[in-house]
Amino acid sequence: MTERKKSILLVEDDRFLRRACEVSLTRLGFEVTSANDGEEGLRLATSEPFDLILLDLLMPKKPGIEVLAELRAAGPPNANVPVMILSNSSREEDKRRVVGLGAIGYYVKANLSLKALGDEIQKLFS
Amino acid sequence: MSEMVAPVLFAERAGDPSGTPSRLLSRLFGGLVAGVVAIVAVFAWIVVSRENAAGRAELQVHLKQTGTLVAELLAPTLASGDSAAVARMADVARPLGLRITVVAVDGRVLADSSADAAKMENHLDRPEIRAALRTGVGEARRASATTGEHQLYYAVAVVRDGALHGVLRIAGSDADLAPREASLLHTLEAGLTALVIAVLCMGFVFMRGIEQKFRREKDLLVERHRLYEELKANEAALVTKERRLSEAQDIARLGSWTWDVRTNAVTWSDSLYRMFDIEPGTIAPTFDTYMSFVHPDELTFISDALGEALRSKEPFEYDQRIVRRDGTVRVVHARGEVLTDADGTPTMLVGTALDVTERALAEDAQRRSEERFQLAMRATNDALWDWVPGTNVIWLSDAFYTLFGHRRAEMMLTFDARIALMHPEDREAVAARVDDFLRSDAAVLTCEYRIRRADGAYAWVSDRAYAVRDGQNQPLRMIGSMMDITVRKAADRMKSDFVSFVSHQLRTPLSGMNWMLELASEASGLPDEARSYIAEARESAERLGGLVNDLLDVSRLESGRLVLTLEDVHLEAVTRSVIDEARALIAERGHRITVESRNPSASVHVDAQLMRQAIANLVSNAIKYTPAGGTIQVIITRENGQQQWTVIDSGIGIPKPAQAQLFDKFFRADNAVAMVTEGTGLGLHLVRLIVEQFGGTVWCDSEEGQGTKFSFAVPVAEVV
Repeated sequence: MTERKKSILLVEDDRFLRRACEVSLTRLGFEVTSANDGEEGLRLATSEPFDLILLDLLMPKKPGIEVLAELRAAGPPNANVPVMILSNSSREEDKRRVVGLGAIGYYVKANLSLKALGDEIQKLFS
Repeated sequence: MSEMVAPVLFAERAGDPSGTPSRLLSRLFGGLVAGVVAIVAVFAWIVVSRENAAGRAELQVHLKQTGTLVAELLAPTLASGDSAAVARMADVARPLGLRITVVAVDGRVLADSSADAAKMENHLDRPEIRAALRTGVGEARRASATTGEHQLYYAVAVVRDGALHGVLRIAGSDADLAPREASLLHTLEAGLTALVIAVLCMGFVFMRGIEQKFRREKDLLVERHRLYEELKANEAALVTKERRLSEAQDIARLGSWTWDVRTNAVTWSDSLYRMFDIEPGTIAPTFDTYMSFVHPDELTFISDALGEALRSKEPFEYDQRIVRRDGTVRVVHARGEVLTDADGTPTMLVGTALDVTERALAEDAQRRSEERFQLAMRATNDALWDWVPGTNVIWLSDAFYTLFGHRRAEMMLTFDARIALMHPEDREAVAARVDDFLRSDAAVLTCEYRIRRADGAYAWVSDRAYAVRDGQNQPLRMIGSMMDITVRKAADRMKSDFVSFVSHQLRTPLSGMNWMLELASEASGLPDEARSYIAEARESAERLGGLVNDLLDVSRLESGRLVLTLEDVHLEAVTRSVIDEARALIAERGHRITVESRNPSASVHVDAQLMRQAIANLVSNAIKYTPAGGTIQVIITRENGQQQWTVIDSGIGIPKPAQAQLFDKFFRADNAVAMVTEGTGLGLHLVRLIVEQFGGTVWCDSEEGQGTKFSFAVPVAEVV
């Protein structure tokens, strides 16, 4: 019997990053769903259950911080799902705000390798 | 005149007015008195003697006459042999005051008027009796054996009918003479005493007279001498005073002059001559001579002024220029008064002239300096301030008010008031920095802070101050200029925001590249060539990422808007962690690296991430710039209340000229570029920003070709 794959929602507006992430995480055995912007991300997050959400901050239509806030307020299925912020901002105020909203990690993509990301996610699920 | 006669006799010191007669004179006088007394005594003795002799002679005659008579009277009685009758006759003599003694031929006393004849001894041995028996008369003078009194004896032989029957002796006492002699003597004594006393008194008076005369003479001489000396002293003093006056005039560059209006005679003091740079006395001072020295531009003015003075007879003073023979111009301050005669007609002008050239020049220079300062103040935009530490008084230039819109009248010019104008967030920090600065020995303090404008908004100010200190480094005065940097700050902020924005924007495609290359490197069936290209592309991208990170960090640190998370950071632990992360690179280069912590628990209260970054940059430099197989030492110690972290490498070193710019943004030494071509020049700049953020300092020691030592020190105390 195969264990159900962990599902990950990836909310990222840059297509290269999106593709790289999808490939890498899929290879690691995760089920990856992608959203191209904040609106789509929120819609998906509030309709399907996921095991983990990877959330970018700087996105058109709806910035990540709003998505997170509304997600937490939304209720099932993903109100309390673990959220990792994958951003390229090092700004302190951004970090503080997301921590306040219950993000479990904040990573600067430019300083994070796919391998390290995979390791972090696997650590989370174990 | 210095010789004095009298004082020779008076052996007193010159100037002693109370001279006493010398011993010489005393002795002289004493001798005189003694002589007089002696003479008088001798004279008296002679007189007394002669009187005595005369008195005695008289008595002798008296006795002789009486004795002869009595003998004649006695003769018959004695011849009769009637003793009683003889005795009776003897008694008769008694009232006469004489003493009669009748002596027999054999010397037996037959009768005596004064004594009992029977008890008297034989008188044969008496010379006067014997003489009388022999020659008929006899005389003697002696003290009586019987009575003891001095007696004069006259003995007469009693003869009757040619037969000697006895001797009659008659005696008179010297005591009879005594009263006469005594009174004479007494008189003489009295007289002598009186004389002596008189002579003494006279002598005393005489002496005093002489003494006084001498004293007066002497006093006069002393007085004359004193006056003479006084006069000499006064003359000398006068000469000295004149000389001093002349010197003083020279020193003060003050000359004096007189001008006799009637005769046109002019006198100049020596110092006035010298003021004109002329040897005193070499030219005749006249009014025209004076005018010849007056500056041509002022001739009219001087003539008018003097004319006016003569007319108004009021004292006058003016400044004028004189031109010396050699052409130099001096500024002279002249004053004068008009002397008039009884009618009020001006007779003389007298006055002084003071060379005030230096002062005039100084005043001029000061005026120009003040002018320059005022102009400079207006030319600069900055607000200038002047403060005496310890007081609350501060001077602020006008620019302060125009810059910030306040009105001078509404502002209290106090140091506290200026602090109060600062942004609340900046006040404490600035006040603390000022306190530290005052207590240190630093000369310059630069602060940036916000100050409230009249419209309520805050302006950013860069305040640069200079402290004047005394010998013990106590600050006596602080002067500063405040530059409004609001615009610059805004621009910096925009730049910073821009850098921040761009950096973030750059990161997105950068991460895309990183991840894609990462995936590519994991692809299977990749030709070795491609694999190596991909690997190098990844390396390149990594460096780009590092640059972006550094740029971002620098931008954030410089903007001052970095929020630090302070915690106790163990330097040794962080260092070991950094070294651990770089172990691959270290192994690749074959370096030997050691960490020595002299106090293992060393920690500083800082932002961990930044501290790690600084250490990482320094370690990374040590690794990169040391040729393969080198040694790197990290030493952590505590010095002067600070944690000190040092890394020493055996690398290429840093040339001396480069060392000054080492911590500047984007600077890379030439030899570093040669060794490692890529490099941002931001690493050390970031280290400095980070260390200084924590209140510490970073420095470097290096010899090109031998190695480098980088150290930083961070205060152990909490850093705000």
